Amino acid sequence: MKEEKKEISGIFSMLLNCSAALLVAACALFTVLLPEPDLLYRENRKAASRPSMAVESLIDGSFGEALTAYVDDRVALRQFWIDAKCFVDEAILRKTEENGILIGKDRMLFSRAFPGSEDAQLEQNLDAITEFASNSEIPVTVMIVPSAAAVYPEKLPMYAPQEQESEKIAAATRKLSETCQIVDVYQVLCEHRDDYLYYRNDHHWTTFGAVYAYVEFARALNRDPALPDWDNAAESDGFLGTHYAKSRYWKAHPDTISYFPTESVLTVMRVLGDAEFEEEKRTLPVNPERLEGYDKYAAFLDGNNGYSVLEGQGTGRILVVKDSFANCFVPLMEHAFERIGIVDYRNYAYGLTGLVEKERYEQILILYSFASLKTDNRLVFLNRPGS
Amino acid sequence: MLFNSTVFILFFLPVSLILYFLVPGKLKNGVLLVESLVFYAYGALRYLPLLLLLIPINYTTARVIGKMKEGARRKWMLGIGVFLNVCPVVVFKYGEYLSELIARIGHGQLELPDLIPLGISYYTFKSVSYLCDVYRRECEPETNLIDLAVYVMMYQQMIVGPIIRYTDIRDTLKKTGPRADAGQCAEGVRMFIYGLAKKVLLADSLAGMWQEFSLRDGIGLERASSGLVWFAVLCYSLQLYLDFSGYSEMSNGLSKIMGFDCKDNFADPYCATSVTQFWRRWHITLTEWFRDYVYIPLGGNRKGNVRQAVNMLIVWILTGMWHGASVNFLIWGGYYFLILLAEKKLIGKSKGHPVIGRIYTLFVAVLGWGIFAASGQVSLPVLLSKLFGFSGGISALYFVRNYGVAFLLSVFVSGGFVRRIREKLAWPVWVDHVTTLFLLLISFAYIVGSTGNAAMYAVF
Repeated sequence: MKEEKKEISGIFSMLLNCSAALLVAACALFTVLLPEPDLLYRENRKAASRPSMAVESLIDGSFGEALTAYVDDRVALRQFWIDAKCFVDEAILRKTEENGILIGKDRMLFSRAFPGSEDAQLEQNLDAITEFASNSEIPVTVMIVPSAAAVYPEKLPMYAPQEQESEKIAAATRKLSETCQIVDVYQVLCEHRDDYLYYRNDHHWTTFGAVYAYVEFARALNRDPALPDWDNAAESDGFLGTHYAKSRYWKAHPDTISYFPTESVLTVMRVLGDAEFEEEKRTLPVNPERLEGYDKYAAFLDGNNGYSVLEGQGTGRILVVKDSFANCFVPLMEHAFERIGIVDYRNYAYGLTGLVEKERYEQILILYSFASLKTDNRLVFLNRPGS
Repeated sequence: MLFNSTVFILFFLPVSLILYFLVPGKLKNGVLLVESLVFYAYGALRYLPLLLLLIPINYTTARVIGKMKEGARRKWMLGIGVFLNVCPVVVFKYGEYLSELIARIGHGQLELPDLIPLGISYYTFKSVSYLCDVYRRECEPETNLIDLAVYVMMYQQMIVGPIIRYTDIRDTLKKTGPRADAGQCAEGVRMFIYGLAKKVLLADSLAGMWQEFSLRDGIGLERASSGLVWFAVLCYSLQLYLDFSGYSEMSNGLSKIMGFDCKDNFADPYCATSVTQFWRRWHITLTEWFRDYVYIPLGGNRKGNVRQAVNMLIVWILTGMWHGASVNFLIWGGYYFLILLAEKKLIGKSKGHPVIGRIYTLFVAVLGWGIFAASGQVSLPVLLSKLFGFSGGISALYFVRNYGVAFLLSVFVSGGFVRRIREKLAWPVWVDHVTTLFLLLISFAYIVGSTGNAAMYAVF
């Protein structure tokens, strides 16, 4: 009897060893044999490339790190494993946060903004805008865009100690209103909160959100918004943005990007110095080809270029100083303005006086999301003296 | 290379085991040595020369000690051997402080790398124990350099130990026949997978809680309420245990597959009924190392109460210093010295109810881990004032909601309930094996789905 039991136990041991070995071997084999992906579409990034074995990289350990990243990006059934992990996190561990992204109701993902980070940069940026507007010879309008969490607080996970963004925006606009014209988009967006204002899987607002804000902006400037015809709007499905890329949420419901096809010309400039630039390329303000790629949001304004110019069909010249929230906003302006200059301080490092003079801009719009206004340490370049 | 990485599980581990099993018995140690060299070099080749230098030094020193007659010269030889091993640890661990000290007394700057070589503490502990055992004539000096090198640098023990003695694995190292049967392999596979699951499913799931205080983009300790701080310290205590014991179990599982029976590093420490017992169950191989190679040689408890207290203080200061050069580790060492001294001299004779003992031990251990973790962004005075000042701040509600289930599962596993249920129910072997395979799949999903968390104790 004992012998028999021992034998059965031995068989089961063999079975465990073989099953574990088979599982590992199958996964390893498929990892090696399956074609290597160049892009990880869902995560909006390129897959790590095969590292080359150089003596230096072996000595300092960077070869090991690179090889680990390379294998991680190529594991067979990678998406299945990622979804399985996220499923267990949500269904069994009941987690409401993945890699700093809050998983809200209706499969909506939010940027985490818990109290903790200091507001020093925000104050610096507000001071910089105030100083700039005080010295500016042309009118300055400011639009601070709230995050989805501020507009849809009830969709946040229960008890999430998200900071009171609406109060902070109100305080910021109070401070800026002495020197700038303010476009209060928080109220406008809240009034239209039943519409599709923010992407579920990305930190940006949708074109609809931008349209409501743009109409409010035009009203503040006493201009006709001259919006494109809604019937001409086009759509691109399957958008999984930055929030998905970080959280890799298994139940993510891909978003739809809406846009107005246009034949206007966006000229992207190569910035050479203060108010010095040359034409780098000409493209469309909304490039449908890029909507097929992995970084879909870059279809708007060709991404975050330092200085670009959009030739419109309206009147007046405006300079937009912006973060990426303006990328789907600016194309809406083409029928209302004659020339729209676009400065993105991620790739621009000069003051604006020279540029305004040279390009004869008549007004300035500073369009920033609250999250960027809190963290952008380059906006202070606004006040850099001209050379 | 981490055990909880795709490279290790899909490629390094299968290839290394196949080679180890395929080669004849006589070549197994050589193969294991080459594999360990590759494993070590994968992290960074630049630290390999130090290890390759120390092994022949220890080999020669042990042989010389083995041949020498008792006396002062033999003791000196041991002293030199220990000094040569300990020096690199001191330089790498305390280099920054030494450099500051040298600069302060006006002798310029000491340029030192900012990274500590992988496993330096663990191979140093092993090497010193080997030299001491040879000195005490508890074992013969190893004549085969490869066998000694395998003992010092076997890859499965390089990251977090356990700190096994040479005598524990000598017999297996000398085996020329098969080293493990199917049953042992299955047990090793099971241990590895359970350890992996403890690490990636539970420890890593709790990791974010303490990071709210320790990382810059967290909420910060100052803004947290007392309730939240207590919850975070509890999570950290569980995370540390599950991470470290999980890694130790993976290491021992791999050793078992290769035929080495290694000592358990943990024995349900959070079930201990006294702090003395806690330290007999937590990082057992380190506690025993300090007992056998520091405390007892200093005289232990054989030279009166005062001397015993001094010996205990030395052991705990060294234990604290081994964890790092920051002040909190020294305070942590001093904290345990005082509690253990009090237990030995005051409480030791009176036996209380085990439940009270368990609550008291848990309280001491959890508070101890709070002190242990209070470095960098986390200030110890603020932590203590939060823990005992009962102040307001960001509530624990959201965090309990987010980490609650992982926390309860971790309590369940750390409290030894899983082991007890397994033993009591004596469920069929196939159930055990199916559970093991299921855990392997889920753990692998966590490895792919996460961005790779190193073992917490790999930095010590």
